[in-house]
Amino acid sequence: MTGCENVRGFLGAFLDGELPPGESQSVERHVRQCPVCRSERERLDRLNTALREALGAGGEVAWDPFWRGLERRLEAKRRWPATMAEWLESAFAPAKLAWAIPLVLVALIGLLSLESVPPIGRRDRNSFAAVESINAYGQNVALFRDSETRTTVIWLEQNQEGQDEAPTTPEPSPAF
Amino acid sequence: MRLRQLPSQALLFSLLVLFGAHAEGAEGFSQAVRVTIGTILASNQSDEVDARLAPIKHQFRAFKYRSYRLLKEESQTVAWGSSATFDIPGGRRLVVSPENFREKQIALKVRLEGGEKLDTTVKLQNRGHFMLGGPPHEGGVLILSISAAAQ
Amino acid sequence: MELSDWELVQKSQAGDRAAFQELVSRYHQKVYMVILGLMRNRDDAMEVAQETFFRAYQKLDRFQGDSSFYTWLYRIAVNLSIDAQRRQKRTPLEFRESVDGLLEKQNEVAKDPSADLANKQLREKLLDAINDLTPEHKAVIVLRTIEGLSYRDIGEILGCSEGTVMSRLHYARKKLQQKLRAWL
Repeated sequence: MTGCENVRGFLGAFLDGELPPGESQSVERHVRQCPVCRSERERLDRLNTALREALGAGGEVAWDPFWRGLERRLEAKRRWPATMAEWLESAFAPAKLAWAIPLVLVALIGLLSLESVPPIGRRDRNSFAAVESINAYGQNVALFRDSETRTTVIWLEQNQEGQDEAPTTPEPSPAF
Repeated sequence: MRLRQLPSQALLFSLLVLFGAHAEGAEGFSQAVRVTIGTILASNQSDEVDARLAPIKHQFRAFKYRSYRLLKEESQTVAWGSSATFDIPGGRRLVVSPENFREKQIALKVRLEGGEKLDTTVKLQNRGHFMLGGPPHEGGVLILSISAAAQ
Repeated sequence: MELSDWELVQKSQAGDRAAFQELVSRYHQKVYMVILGLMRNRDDAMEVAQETFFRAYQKLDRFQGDSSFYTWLYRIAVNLSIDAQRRQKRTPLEFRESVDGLLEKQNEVAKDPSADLANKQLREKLLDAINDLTPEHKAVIVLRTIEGLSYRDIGEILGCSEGTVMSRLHYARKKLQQKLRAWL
């Protein structure tokens, strides 16, 4: 393997230790003799170091809340079939049929009225708010809507002196 | 099972429910609006999220704070066309005026004063909400969760 | 004596919850770091990391040991992260990102004004540049950098050849170098 263009294509794999021994030695020999490729190797080294520092600095994740969150999901999945079976059993008990009809009616009405009584914890799914007008009296304000929860947020930005760049305030969407 | 065997109370109950359910919150009948303000302190001083905020925790994904604490929650019933004032920490006030209820949407005029000043009119669904945030407070920022339900 | 991953998998398949908990304990930090590298947002990464182990639990009976447990697990993690990123790209995420950046900047300036600004700026620019890569290119950079995985393992996780891994890495590094020319 000779020629700078060729070698540079394999420098990454060489630094990663992924080249077969013969090719690896060939690259090493070339880099030792070629100042341009040597400089390129150093640049790649710096990039790899910066990448490790940037991506490695994510922080720890605490075990306890992680496992508890996961356990809740596992429990919810486990409970659902059992709960369903119990409900089906009680719903079809003959003695209770007399009261079953009005209860079914109430359930139907509840289903039809879903948009006005969203389930707890998911009220945001139907919560669409449109900002008709806004006046922040000279302060910077940002409007945004979270894509998944559809929550509308009006955010008053703090004006700070000495910031390197002005914060990017998004253009309000047409819905506003 | 024959219809005449059905308890009469059960039938009466069903009729009442049928009549009552659709009357609640209907635009023509609404007299007032129940406005609820949740005042939340968001900061990076800890990693704790107030357990009372658990049902809406996923809404905080829009923000970069690690800790959310519910400072207070207050509700007032406000007649259409009048206003209610809510005290907000830091000497601030939030004045909320429900304007109208059309096509299942409540038009709400909201004014923040006593520090930062903001006027806004927001249309939200009945029982819907939106958030107003940013005023600094005690090393973090305040986020107000504003909801309205026609009565 | 410490049980191997495969032994723990077999016990978990037989319904031993403690064995599955041990597996989670071994890999939750690594999985989280990889996902964080791909998604950049801590809450999203936490959500996807928990979902990864949940899916792994559901599919555990299908794992027959023909690959290592961790490459199988990382494959689930990377696929979920790529799906989540694609869902975010279809929506006006720039609103969220601009507020994220704004709030992070405010907090950094407020917390630590005497910190090394040049390093912070390089880190931010590098993370931005990584974020601009396609999900597939981001995945090879993250898996290689954070985990130091071999091209073969990365290929197994991403379902591609070692040659494809090598060329994706080469392309991604070139892109990053171009964007950070002034800094590196």
